Amino acid sequence: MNDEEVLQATAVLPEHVLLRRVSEELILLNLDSESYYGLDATGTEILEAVLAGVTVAAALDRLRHTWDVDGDRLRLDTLRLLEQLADAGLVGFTRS
Amino acid sequence: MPEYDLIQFTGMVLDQVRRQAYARAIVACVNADSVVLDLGAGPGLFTLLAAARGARVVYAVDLLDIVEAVPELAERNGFGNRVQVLRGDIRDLVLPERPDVVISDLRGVLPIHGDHLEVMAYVNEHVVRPGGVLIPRQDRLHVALVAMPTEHGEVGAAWKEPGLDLGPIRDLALATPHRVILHGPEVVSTTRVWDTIDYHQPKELRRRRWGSTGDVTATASGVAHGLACWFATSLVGDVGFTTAPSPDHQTYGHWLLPFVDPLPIGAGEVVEVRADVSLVGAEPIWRWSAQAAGGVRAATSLDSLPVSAGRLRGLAIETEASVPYVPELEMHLEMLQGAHDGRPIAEIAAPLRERWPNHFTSPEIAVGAVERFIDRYRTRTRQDADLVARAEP
Repeated sequence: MNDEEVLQATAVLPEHVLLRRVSEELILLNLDSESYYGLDATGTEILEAVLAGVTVAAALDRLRHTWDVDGDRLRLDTLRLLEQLADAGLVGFTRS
Repeated sequence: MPEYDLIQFTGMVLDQVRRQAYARAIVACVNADSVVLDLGAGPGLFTLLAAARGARVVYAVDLLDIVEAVPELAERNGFGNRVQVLRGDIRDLVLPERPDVVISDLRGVLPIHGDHLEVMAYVNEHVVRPGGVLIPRQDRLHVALVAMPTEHGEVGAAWKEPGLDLGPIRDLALATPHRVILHGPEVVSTTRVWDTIDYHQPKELRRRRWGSTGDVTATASGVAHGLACWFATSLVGDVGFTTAPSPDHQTYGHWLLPFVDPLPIGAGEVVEVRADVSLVGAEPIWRWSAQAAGGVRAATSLDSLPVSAGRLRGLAIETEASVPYVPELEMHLEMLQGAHDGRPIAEIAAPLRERWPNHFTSPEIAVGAVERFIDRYRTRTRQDADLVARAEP
């Protein structure tokens, strides 16, 4: 998927991934690869926003209102994060 | 001989259901030509039973010190020349000949734990003679709803203290899967088989995930406090036993997958239940759920695993998003206000550094940031003025 398609898609948690919130951080467990991953508070907030059942673009709109951050930077960082999570099998996407 | 090992093994041999079933299986499989491996032999009861049955040779293998007691017992019973003891992991040992009967019980409460199934896959492929007999042959994993108001109440009450809020640790304790002993009346639904382990199928034994979802029917009205799991084993032919809740002594116990909040159920109601365990390294990670008219309960053992973010931080994915965003707009407003008030740059920079020390890590960095920012506006104002000047006739 290219960036534009990701923005219009909804992120979903695959069946083989478990989440656990520890304080402000998030632990992700990929049961298929038997690997743990961690996200810091910012990554956690981004992932929780994009997993809220709205498109990635809509999640970015919400985050932009929450944070005082340049929109382009937020978009690029989020897309990069989602790309890494998808590469690790930690998120999937459904076309809205 | 470690006392703790003996106490554990005494509990196992006291379990008459287990003991008699294994004894019958040995009688059914072992004859004078048999080469037998007793895997996880412990103090050697099954070794001696196989020798007594007339086996040509019995190899007693265990990781534990207690297996060193076997030669003396074999000698005392007249089997000294037919029993050989090897201490270690079967995967590191070479037996003088391949056994045609392998007896094992390396289960815990359930057969899925650590590398038990991996060991059994290895035994299939490298140890037992082709066409040989494995005792056990198959384990079927069962699940049912259980009502345990006393246990649930005691765990909940343990984490209450007047004047203190212990809610999170209470919920964690209530959500943690653990071993319990059930006697039968606790079971409040029909049971279902949620998976089957066939010890003759090495590929299957190497599965990393076991489980399924299906229906049970509530047999009583009230509340369920969790799902309980146990197994029924087929040792050989029609010889086997079950560890289902019963008043009989059982060494295995039962595995409770608890609900933090009890689930209301009505007699005759169909409840969809899920029991699922994945191996992550040697650690079993459980997922369980129950869906009834009165609600849905779902949990994973990751929720109650004693992990910290710190322990797992080393595995964190490095991302740009890992760098916390700084409130640039707020900083810029401070700088503009300072410039508007005519304060020197160093005076504008000092409170910025005080407020955001992680961003402005030195006075020089803060001063530089203020200078660059204010310079942008100076330049723009000069450019605007130039444009105005050029536009004027």
